[in-house]
Amino acid sequence: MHGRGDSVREGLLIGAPGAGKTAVLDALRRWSQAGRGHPIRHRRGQRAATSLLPVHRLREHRPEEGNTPSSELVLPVGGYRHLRIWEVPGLAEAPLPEQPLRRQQSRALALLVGSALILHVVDANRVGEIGVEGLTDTDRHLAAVGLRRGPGYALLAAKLDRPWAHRGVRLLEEWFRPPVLLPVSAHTGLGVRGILTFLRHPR
Amino acid sequence: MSLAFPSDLLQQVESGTLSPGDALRVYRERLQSAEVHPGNREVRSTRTGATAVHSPSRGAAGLPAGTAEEAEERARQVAAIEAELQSLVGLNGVKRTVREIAAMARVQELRRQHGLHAESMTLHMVFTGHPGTGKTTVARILGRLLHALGLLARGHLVEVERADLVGEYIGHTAQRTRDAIQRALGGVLFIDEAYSLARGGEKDFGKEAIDCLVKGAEDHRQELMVILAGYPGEMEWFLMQNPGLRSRFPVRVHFPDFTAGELGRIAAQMLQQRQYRLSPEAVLYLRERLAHNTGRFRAEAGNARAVRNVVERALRCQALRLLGRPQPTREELMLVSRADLEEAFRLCAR
Repeated sequence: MHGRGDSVREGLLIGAPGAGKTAVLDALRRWSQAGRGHPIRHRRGQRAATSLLPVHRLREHRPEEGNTPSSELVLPVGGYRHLRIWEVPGLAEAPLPEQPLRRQQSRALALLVGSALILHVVDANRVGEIGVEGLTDTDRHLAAVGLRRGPGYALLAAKLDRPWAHRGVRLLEEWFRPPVLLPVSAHTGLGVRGILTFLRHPR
Repeated sequence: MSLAFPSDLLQQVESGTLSPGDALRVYRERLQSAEVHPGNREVRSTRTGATAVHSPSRGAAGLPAGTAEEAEERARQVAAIEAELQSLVGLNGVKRTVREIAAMARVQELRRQHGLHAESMTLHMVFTGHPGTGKTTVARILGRLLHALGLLARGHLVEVERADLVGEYIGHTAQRTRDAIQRALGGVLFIDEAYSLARGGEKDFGKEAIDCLVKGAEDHRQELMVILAGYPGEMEWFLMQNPGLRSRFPVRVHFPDFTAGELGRIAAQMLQQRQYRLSPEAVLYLRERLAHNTGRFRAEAGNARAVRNVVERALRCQALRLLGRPQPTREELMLVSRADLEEAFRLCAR
């Protein structure tokens, strides 16, 4: 919880379905020096086995709150400052049949402009293996919007532990030339420290 | 430059009329446009992201005059429908023709507003192309677009074929055809396989349906769009059967067969719509099958429709495969494997 006078900024974890957003959020929680605290839940109600969260907060939004399913993780980023990272359902290229999911997507798009930070997650393994078809049109538009906004946008090349991911990282670098490209493996934790550094000192 | 995300796009995403990807594309285009013409734009923005972008110097997008709110609402509708059209895979020539029609409608309205002579537009068209190339889909979008542009009162689509128009006794055909026209007034009358109307020979009632259609199309040319659709060769023959047809249906739009790459993108889009994705091996397999068996999907084989059948079959194969597992993960529930696809192709080939 935050004390009076705390400053909370919004960050957005966004990307196409299956890009690895949930795993990245989970890795951020696990690797951000979490100690003892409350057991947390994954999105869609799956209980995380051993996770504990003391100063950080991960909350699943329930249907009755009209916000299902999304997760938020609050991280202290120095002093009294906190960063609330929203993880929202993947932005599919076609409208989804479920209204609550569409509401979340709409909210994510609104936050896209208002958020202090955007973490755009792309499956680097898929990109590396099948090339340009591994990117969705949504990814291209997201990257264009993010790069146009300048500071505060980072392209996260996820699934770095997979065989084709390094090629994918190279291709993403070549195609987008993003100022901040953060390769990450949620599985091994490689690159998570880089994300945490970016969250604390965005550029 | 940073614009709050337009509230009209957010509403459309929430209501399911626009995909997030298309909303992003439209937003991106508006950002670019705002940069190119900063003086023409007024951006209202609130903390929640509610935004309105409009040109203060004229009615929104040159649409028929009304209140500013009505014009703004129409401009939003036009942008959303155009985005929907652009999201269709391939069909670049078709999209270009539709853009030309929409641009013509806007410019004629602007000319009217400036006291210049404005051409009255004949909306009737001939769509040629093989099955599954998107003729009906585009007709439906076009109806809505012309409605948003103020050219059609309702913009709905009435789809008929020979059996709906041709009667069984003298006078029956004219009545049925007139009924179809009445139902379509204010929207689009889409006549699929229109050439079949002329196939029955001299004594067939199909000729009567054609005569009635030609008259109805002429009488209601400002209130109705009639689209005659069918295979390219047959439609050429059909247009020669009645001297009035060619001149009354001046716009021809050809829907080419999809390329292997386009069919692959259509398959990917269909899967993503249903929240599935192909494994990398499955992507390569699909690409290979489409490249080497293009004939199986193109021309009379059904194009996008044939791909849809394979995709739906693959989803059923995946379901069968997962049924044997005690607790499939979220990733597994989304993933369509190469084996699923192979099985689907095999079953669809039967």
